[in-house]
Amino acid sequence: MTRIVLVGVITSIAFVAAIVLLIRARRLQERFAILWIVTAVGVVVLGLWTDALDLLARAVGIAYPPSALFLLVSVFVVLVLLHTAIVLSRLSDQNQTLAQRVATLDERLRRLEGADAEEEPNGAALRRAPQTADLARRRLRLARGSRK
Amino acid sequence: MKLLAIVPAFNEEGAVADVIAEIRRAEPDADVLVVDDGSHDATAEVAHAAGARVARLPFNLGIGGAVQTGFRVAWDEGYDVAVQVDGDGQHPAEAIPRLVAAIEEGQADYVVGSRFVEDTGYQAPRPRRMGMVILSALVSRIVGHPMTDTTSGFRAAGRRAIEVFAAHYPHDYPEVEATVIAARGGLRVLEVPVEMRPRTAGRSSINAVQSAYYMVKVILAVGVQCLGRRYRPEERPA
Repeated sequence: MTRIVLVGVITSIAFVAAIVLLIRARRLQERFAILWIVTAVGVVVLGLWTDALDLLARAVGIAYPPSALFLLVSVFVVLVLLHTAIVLSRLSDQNQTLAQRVATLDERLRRLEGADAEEEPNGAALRRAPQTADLARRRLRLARGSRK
Repeated sequence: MKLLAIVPAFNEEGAVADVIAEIRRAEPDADVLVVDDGSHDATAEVAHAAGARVARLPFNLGIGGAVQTGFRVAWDEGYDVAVQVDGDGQHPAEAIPRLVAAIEEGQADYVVGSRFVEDTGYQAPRPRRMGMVILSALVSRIVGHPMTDTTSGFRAAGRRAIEVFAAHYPHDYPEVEATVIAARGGLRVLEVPVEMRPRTAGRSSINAVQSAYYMVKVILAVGVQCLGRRYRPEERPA
């Protein structure tokens, strides 16, 4: 095993370890992580199996095998960027819909609460308030519990 | 007939109260919904004090996202017509009944208040005028009849247009694209002449560099719309 192969393998193993740590810490969702794990494994394979690059270059018709590596990497990077752009577009759409929903629900809530305060005899809204707050707290606890 | 006036407003505490009052005067039975697009000033409080309903967006979405908030409310609450009036006071509220009439009488599903159909005394700077001519030619082709003022944000939408826009409305610089979405969805688009005024407070949100970007963005967006699917309303014509 030549020195360069050793360096390559150690680097890619470190890469795999970093991804596993990110998943464990919930910083990276599994569905995104799969892509990166496959990538890391690919890097390890290319590092160990030094002939693979030559074979690939010959198959595609590339005279200088290391260029095949650069080609492979560039194509991969472009695909990953495209993927993040698609995810980002969807998230920003969903974000906008949520913001609009929050705004309209908030408007309705303020309007209904305002109407209550005006129509009811003194204190009726106030007497009911603790109960509502209690309900809200209980829902919050339920929501927290379900996430665990 | 239930009429909703949608007033998108971003930092318009100086103008929004007058706009609400004018809409009230022109259409006493209309509900006024101010969509506060994440303002940093007292726009929402001023609008509320002036008696409007106020939907507060938690952060700035841009004019498209703000107007669509109004269309969503109009659709959910069964409004027959939604009219869109800028919060900066440049749209003449006294012309609202004319826009609404075109929809009520069944002439159109989507009405644009235009500065150019007749001589309304509007003079734009030269480069902007060129851009407007190009957009006008483009939109006229798609709509199928002449559209002179494509960038006016003073509009009225009938039930079918409300349905389409509640689900699909462009993000930024939405006016031209919205017209194209409407026309491609089989809605009848009509222009009605109105006389616009200079702004009463605040400043225009577009400068020279943005104007160039505007043209490129809008033309691209129209191209994308024409390649994509059509959004047809399920609601039957009135």
